[in-house]
Amino acid sequence: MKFLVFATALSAATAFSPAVQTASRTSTLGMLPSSKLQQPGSFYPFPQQKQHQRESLLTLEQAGKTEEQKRLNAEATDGSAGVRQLLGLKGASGSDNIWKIRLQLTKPVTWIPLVWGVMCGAAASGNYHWMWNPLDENDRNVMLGLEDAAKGFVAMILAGPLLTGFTQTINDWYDREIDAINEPYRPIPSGAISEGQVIAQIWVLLLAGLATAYGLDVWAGHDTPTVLYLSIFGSFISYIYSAPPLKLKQNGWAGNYALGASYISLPWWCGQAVFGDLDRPVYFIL
Amino acid sequence: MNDFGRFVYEPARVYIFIDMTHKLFFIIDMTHILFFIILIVSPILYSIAGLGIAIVNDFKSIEGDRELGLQSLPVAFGADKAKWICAGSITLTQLGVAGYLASINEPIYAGILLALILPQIFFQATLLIPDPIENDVKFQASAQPFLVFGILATALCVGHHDFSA
Repeated sequence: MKFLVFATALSAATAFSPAVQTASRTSTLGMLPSSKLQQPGSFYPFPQQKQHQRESLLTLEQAGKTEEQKRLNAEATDGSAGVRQLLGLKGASGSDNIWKIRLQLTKPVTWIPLVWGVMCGAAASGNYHWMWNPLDENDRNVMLGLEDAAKGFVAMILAGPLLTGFTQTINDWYDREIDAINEPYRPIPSGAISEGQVIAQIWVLLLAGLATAYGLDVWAGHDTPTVLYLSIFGSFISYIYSAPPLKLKQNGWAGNYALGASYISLPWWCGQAVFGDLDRPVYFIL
Repeated sequence: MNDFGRFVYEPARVYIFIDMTHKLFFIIDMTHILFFIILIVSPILYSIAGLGIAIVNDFKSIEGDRELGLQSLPVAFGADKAKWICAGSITLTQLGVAGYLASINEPIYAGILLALILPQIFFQATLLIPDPIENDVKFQASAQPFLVFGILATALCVGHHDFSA
């Protein structure tokens, strides 16, 4: 059965272009079980992992890699180094300003998909009112439009800076030991920010996020605080994604699914819950 | 009543016939089974597409992940299998969403979504499948905009659709 599925996939590939055909031929060989990849019990490597890290720390090869990583993260020379730091990109400039480092920890570039998701959810609610809708004469109530714009903005703050910021900070926190080896220039392993400050940031972002979520529920007049529940659920997923003992990110399926779902479904549900109800059958498509 | 005896239609996707000798047998209607599978699978359609998008980021770190014992999908299955899991999860789920939109009688939105899926298939065929390790960033940058506008199109469709009708 498995073979059939892949045979179909391969034949689909050959339909794309003749150039692809050769690539898929070689890939057939790669699909045969190879002893190198099929190590028994290697799917849950939690107990062995620390040992792996220590060993690799000692190898010269790893030391060379660290140098390479440093080179890769060398400060960008196109004048974007400062902006890169604020956005949480590689090639950032070092800075002593604690607030810049705090912002860097929250990785602002990763907020964008979440903000988009909130917007999609608002659209999907069918209940978002424009200040002046060019398509609908009956949808030109400026005050209602202003209120919805403000609601949407707060929901985007919730999904972006607060809860994604929380997620990224907690992820860096639980990765501090592995980052010390692979990316020693990151704020926590480099000591640019103290451990106490990081923990404070995690709690402030989480509690501010949950408070904002509840505020949105009150604003939207919910009987059941759906936005709060979604936020608690999302932060819980963030926690088990990064933190031991589960560390979903170490498992290919669970980690990537949690990531994909959190980036697409959660903000959609949030935006939809703020403007309407989760009554539409969106569970079909998210 | 007909030659087959009593004919009962059950929404539980099973036809029950009782023939003249009162022997009871079931004929499972395949179209309903298919519909049932879609209902079970589709709740997680777009998040499965997100799974595929997330896998793309794992190709660049195969060596490092293997050293550290991290079981990313490219490490667990090899890049050749993982790239198909990746492309399949991105494309099939979106096709499922387009099918759903078509099924609720929104052919225009379904068509828009389909038109946004085709360029993604093109980029999968020209970038991701030939060399996922080399082209990962290029693929994300090329195909991602079509994915996110597909999500927006879906959202607008859901927002404008009258579900009570």
